[in-house]
Amino acid sequence: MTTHIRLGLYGAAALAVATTTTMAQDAPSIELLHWWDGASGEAVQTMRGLFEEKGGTWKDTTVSGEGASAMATLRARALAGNPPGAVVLKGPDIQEWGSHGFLRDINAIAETEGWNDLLAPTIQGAMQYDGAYVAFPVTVHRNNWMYTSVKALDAVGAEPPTTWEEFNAVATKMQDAGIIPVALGGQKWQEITLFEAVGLGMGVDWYRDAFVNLDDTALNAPEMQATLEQLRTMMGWVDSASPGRDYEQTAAMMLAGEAGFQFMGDWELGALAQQDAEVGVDFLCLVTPNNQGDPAFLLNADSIALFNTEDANELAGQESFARIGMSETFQTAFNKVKGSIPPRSDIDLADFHTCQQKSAEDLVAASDAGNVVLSMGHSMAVPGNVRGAIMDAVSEYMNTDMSPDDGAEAIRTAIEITR
Amino acid sequence: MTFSTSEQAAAPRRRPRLDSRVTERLVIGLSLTPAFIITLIGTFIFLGWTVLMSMTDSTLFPSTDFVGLEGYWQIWKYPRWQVAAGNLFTFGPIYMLVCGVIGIGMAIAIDQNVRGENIFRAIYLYPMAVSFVVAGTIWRWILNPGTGVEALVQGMGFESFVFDWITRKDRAIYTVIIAQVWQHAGFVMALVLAGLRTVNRDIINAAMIDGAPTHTIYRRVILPSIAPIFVAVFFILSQWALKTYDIILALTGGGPGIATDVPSIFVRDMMFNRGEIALASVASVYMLLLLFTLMAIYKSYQVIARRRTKQ
Amino acid sequence: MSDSSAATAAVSDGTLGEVMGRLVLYALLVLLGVYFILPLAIVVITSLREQGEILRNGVLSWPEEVSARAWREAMFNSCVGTDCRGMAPYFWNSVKMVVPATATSTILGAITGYALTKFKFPGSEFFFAATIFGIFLPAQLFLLPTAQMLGWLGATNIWGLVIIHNLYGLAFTTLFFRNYYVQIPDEIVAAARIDGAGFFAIFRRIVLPLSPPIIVVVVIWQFTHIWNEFLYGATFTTGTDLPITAALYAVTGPKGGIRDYGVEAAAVIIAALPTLLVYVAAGKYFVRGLTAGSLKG
Repeated sequence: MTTHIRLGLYGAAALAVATTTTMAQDAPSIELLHWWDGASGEAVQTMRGLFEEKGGTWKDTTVSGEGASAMATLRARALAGNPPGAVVLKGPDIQEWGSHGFLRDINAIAETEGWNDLLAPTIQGAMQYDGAYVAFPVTVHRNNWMYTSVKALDAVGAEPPTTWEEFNAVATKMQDAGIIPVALGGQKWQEITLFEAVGLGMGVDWYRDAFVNLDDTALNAPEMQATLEQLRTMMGWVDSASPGRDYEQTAAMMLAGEAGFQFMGDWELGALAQQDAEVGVDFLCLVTPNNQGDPAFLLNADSIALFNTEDANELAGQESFARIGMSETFQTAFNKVKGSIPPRSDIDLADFHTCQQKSAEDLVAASDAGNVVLSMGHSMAVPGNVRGAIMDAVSEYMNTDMSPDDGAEAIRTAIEITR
Repeated sequence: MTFSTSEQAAAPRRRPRLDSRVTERLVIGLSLTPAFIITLIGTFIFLGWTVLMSMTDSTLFPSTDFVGLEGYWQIWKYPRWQVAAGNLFTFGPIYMLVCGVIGIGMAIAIDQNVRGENIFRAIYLYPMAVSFVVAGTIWRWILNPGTGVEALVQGMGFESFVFDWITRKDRAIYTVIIAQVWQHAGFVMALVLAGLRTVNRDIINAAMIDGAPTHTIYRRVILPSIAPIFVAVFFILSQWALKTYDIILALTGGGPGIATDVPSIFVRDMMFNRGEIALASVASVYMLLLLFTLMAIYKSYQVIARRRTKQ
Repeated sequence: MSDSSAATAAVSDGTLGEVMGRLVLYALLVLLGVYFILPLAIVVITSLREQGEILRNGVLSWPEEVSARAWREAMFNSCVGTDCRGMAPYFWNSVKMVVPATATSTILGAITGYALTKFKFPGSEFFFAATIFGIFLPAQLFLLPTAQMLGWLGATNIWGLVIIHNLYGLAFTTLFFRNYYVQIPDEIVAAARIDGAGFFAIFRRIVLPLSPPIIVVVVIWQFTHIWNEFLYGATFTTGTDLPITAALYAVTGPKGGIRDYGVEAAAVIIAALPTLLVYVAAGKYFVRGLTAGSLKG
């Protein structure tokens, strides 16, 4: 896209805004409801900075606690009739809120800004309700990373494992050397992240059938058994202080070489950067082991949905926010901090982190091979109640000595009663 | 302070003028209107809303499509609800017992004319003043094996010392008891102490003259005379046990796994996180039924006690 | 009512057994005191230590050097979301909410309790029972209907929270006042009525002057509960209007990198300070007020 065209687009957009929103042009305001704290919280600062640069008033509503509390706040405020102007919403939640008529149609902006040319078709679809854009994407996270401690790997003199068999061999060596092989923080969302990585490694298509499409045959397939058996083995390699530990603290153990492998999405890069860790020196970003060869991409995209409002300042703020959110400047800055890759496909990643560049390459390869899977555990694939029930069952399995058979049955029951 | 009823002779009643009585009624009516509206909405309409929702197919938003009582047996298929309900019945009684015994013990101990009574009382009572976020944060540090007691004792050279209850599925619920007792025992003490201070001295003196030892006097004379306080304590502790929520959220978040789940956490999670309003309402109604049972027990105790005093 | 112990008379002068008994008693009191005071002590000590020292020696350890860094940081620089002005502004948010909410719910409870005891009417007992029923309901169950109500009222702001705290506080305040006023002899009120005093005149001249002990109890109770409330405060406030409990939850929640235990500890104390001071300063009156009859009924 040339500068000329871009200028033209901006002009058209300005015109569109001038005609659609009346008055109050001088005081655009936005309230963003989100649950990003820690390293991701810093990424929100860049968003805020850009918005305020354009003369807007930023209102930040952070609700700590992995999104659950944020959703409680959103639901209560929607019922009370004053939802925030912008909310971090994902996957099926966008459809759900759209179907209740809460989301603002921003097709006009999407058209003038040419979003269809900038976004991959799968992402376009996820941002639309009933054929119209109601949200815009800000990140593409990859969840199936295995952050590996260089110290721990060197201590046992092992090569980075690529299959589960190799992984188990290295882990056993670490165990013998007094290193905690699996660095896990025992919080439900971290547990489901590990579960997904293991399941995906047992077969990409199987995992998609079972946990995205909730297909009965797949849920009864031998891969289910294999996944749970591998998980059982791995839980034996987790230290006893795991329950409740934040992922950042867990990352510190991995960096120090006290622990070997941490299964986590690429927002981990933010936490690692805060601890001054360097790739290749302190840690490696490896793709999680898989038994079928082709690397898969477990996709988890953050997006921001805009809620209907009648306030002229907010309407103006939303439009300004949407354009900023999709701008090259913002997407570059934001994703650098978040550890993810920009949803816009036209951004040059030359000065991004090596791990992020790898992520972008793998996304292309995985798309070609049909190996992109939406993350169930991170609210991209199934309704919230189904996801929650699966997480309960998985967490229960991981924290007890339930047999793989019983575990599989518990997961199937969980899906059955919520469907 | 006490109000003596015997000293003031009741004045002969004269009938106030009619119009002033009408205005007075109006004033009383008006003065009770806020309470009436608040109670009607805050208690009964909301209660009705919950019962109504429990019989609908509401998911993400309230719906009015009725499905009857189906949810009431459907809920028992949820392993989490089973764990949550089970926890209430193991956690609840132990918490109440420990809290009651420590609270009563502290009250009796303080009642022995101890020096520095004010200081002890303030120390025992202050945890009531702090919020669950505060209590949860503090106890999480103390109980966590990496930062707390275990690390401390190991650091002193006792390498094999282990205190990792908070991370153990079968023990984590007891750490909730440790923290919750810490927060509530002082209030039990305050209630019982208040009761002890109302006991008629003459009765005690009479027992003293009979030469009974202190512990006998407590067992036979003092404690029985404040039985209503124990009932109040029992009741307050039981509804606290049922409402337990904040401290678990801050301490364990319901984990490890679902080991420290309780009904009120289940309700909140289903209602907000999962978009299962109907299911959450069913769980709420079960909690309410348990409360009604407790209240019925309390009420019948009161009736019996009143009858006994009349005799 | 005197403060004297029920067992005053039971204490006799020192035989050996008596002395031993006293020793055991004090040992027990001190031991329990340690259990109760230790958590607070740990937090206070931690808030005065340097971060490097905490990481080196562990969270439970004696300070090598006393530093006020964590306090400054928590008060003025710690971040809640993207707002890094420390806890101070949130402290004021809570003050702005807790003062009107405590005042209104106390006044309402006093008037209601007074009317229900001194101006009984058919059904007043039932009215009382219905009012205090709310005590037993876990408030978090009612978040959604409350939201709907506040939407209709158009009050999703600090006044909405004041309404909420009246909604869930009235049951307690009414119970306390009613049980206290029951003990004021009806004859006093009857005599005043004969002299022509009206509803509010009697309240002002006779009932209110007798009320300070129970007002202390109710104000302490409401103040601590409203100050410490989290769920409603966090749900119905936006942006930088969060109450201090929600801000504290954000400060002590997950953080990038290594936890700053010192700042968390200081934040914990800042959030708890007002209620702690109230309990320490007025705890004696709290127990006395309870003694004065708020238990019966």
